[in-house]
This record gives sequence, structure tokens and C-alpha cells, in this order.
Amino acid sequence: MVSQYGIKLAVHLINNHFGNLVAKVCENLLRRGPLTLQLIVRYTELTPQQVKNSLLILIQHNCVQAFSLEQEGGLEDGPRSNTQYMALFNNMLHRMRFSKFLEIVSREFDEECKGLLEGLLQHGRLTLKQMVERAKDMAERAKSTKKEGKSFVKV
Amino acid sequence: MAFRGRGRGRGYGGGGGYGFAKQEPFELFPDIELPDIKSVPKEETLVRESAKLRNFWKASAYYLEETVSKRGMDIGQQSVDFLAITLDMVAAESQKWLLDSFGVYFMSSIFSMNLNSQSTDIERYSDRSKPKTTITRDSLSQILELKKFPRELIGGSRGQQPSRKKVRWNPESELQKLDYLEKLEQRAQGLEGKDEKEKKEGENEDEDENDGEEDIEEEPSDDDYYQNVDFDDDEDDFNDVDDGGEDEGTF
Repeated sequence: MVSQYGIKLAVHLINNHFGNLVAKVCENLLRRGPLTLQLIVRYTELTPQQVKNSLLILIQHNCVQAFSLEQEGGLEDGPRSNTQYMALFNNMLHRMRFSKFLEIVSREFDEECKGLLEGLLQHGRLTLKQMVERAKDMAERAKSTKKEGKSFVKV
Repeated sequence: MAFRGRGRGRGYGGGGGYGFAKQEPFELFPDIELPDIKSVPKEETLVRESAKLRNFWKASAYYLEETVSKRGMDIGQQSVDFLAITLDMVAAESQKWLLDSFGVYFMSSIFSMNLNSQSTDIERYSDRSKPKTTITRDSLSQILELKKFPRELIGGSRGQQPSRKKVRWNPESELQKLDYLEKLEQRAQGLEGKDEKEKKEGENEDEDENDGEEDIEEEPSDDDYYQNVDFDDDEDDFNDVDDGGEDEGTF
């Protein structure tokens, strides 16, 4: 069970990182437990689009987990599937420690590893393809800055 | 385990004697020796990294903010509400004075300036040097891998609702359901029938085993009935009045 001060801290963190809209959705999920999209829209009094975007961000950053419940009694032939969203409190608090994680990785491993972790912390979740592309970009940027530095020294 | 916890507070008692804890005066701010500040390391790298991450998120598409408009108006409205509450409590003569004074205050205050500046869209030269507060962000759909999210969330961001079938009453599907239910019932009945048969067989076996005993027990003993002893035939035993055959109909 999450205490009220824990919820306040988590909401503050999310507000700081992703803005007040996302924090509002997050607070409702933390206080009321798993909810459906319709219920979140009703409780937050935001537009459905705003709530959808907030949920996308929260899921992307592993602060919310979506799961579907299949219930019998759907209007059509199959059972009715009901998607619910659950806030992940511990993951929200871990956001405080991101800089610490980065520091430990940079101390233990090389700069490349730090870059990979930084990308993951910034974007929450990335595919392997995205990570490879990002690493390539970083390497090219580092090369170009070195070249620029050299040419500047020459000039 | 419980006795361990109990004993913790009574260490000074000696010999495990059961006495009350000694009362000590409560000190609100006791003198505590704080550690030396210089010995605490200042982790500037952590602060810098976290600020860097925060700045990244604030500039990215992940940052959603409700646009707060007309701040001055809101504050002004709050003040007006506060004024209305206080006015209820103050006498009628002083109401006039309060209204006048607040009126003058609002006219000369920043709130009225705000209202004016919102109504006119004249760009000042001094505003050009100010940093623009609105940051152009990428849309979420450009960044996220939308395949891996719930369908109801993605449908909106593409601007298309997932195509819904019109909900119609399909009699065939209902009949199919009924057939399915009938099958289930039949199966259930079949199972019950089997169970009953098995039970009966079992009972017969039992009966065979207990035949001798039951014969003795089940012998009809109608003695009580015939003797009318300990037999309740719902008749009024205490008012046994014979009507002389009046109950019977006369033809």
C-alpha cells in the first residue's frame, strides 16, 4: 500500500519530468488503482486526446502498465476485452535515481555504455534498431566535433 | 519471537524483572551533535546529470502541459471572491468604503494591466528580446513505436477511430448460443444421469450388504397408531367434544 506522501512525491516527480497533464493522470491512477480509459477521462476531466497522450508517455517511460481483462457478456459474439491501466509506483520513484545510475555506469564501464543507458533513461524504452541508430549518430557527432576542433586550432 | 521484542526496552531493569519503564522528561529540541558539513561530499555531477535529463524531457515531446491562461484574471477573481466573503461580515456602511478602495486598488494594480495587455495584441520592441516560451515539439507519434501500445490509445493519435462494427441483433448467433446452451444442458443431464445410476448401483450394493439389518428396522410398527399412544393426529386432545354427528351432511 502506497502512503499519501509517497503518492505526492511520485506525482511531483512526474510533474517535474512530464508536465502537469501527465501528472494529473498519474495521480488519479495512483489514488484510485487500475482504471479504464473512460474512467480516467471522467475522473481527470481532461479531453480524451490529452488522456491518451499522457498514457502513451507514461507507458513509454514504464510508469504505467496496460493490461486487458476479458469479460463475458460482450455485445458481439466474442467476450468483451477491457483495457485497464495501472500505475507502477516503484518505477516512478526510481526516476529520482537516474543520475546515480548514470554515474555508476560511467564509473564501471566505458562512455559507450553510458550513452546507451542515457538513451534508455531519456526515452524510457527503445528498440534495438533505435538504439543502434542513436549510437551511430552519437559517434558521428563526436567525430565531427573533433574535426571542427582540429580545424579551429589550425585556423 | 514476541518475548524478544518485549525485552528490548527493559535492558536496564536487570534480571528480567517486570517493572514499568522509568519516566524521563521530554525535551523538545535536544542537543545533537551534527556531522561536520565539510565531510559530506557535494555530488555536483549527480545534480548536473539530473538537470540535464530534466531539460531534455522538458524540451521533448514527452512534456505535456495544460496552457494556463489569464493568470492575472484568476488571481483577480480569487480576490473578488475573498472580498465577497468579507463583505458579508462587515456592516453596510463599511461595505461601500471597501468596495471603493478595492475598486481603486484593482484599477491601479497589475491585474488591470494584464487584462488590457491581453485584449490588445500589439507587439512591443522590448518583447523581441524575450525568449519565446512556446517550444515547438515533435508529435508523440513521430517518436513512439506505436505498434506496442494498446489499440485504443493509438486510434486517437492517428486521427482515425478503429472501425467499429454496427451492433446488430443477429438471430442466428442467438440461436447458435441457445443450441450451445442446450448441448451444455444435455451434457450436464447426461452427467447427472450417470451419477444417479452410479449412486443407485452403489446404494443397491449397500442395501445388499445391509439387508439383514434393514429388514429388522423397517418392519412396520403400527402399534402406536392403532393404540393411539404418542400419535399426533392433529385432533384437539383436551376439548374432545363429540358433536353427535353434526359434521356429517344430511341428505
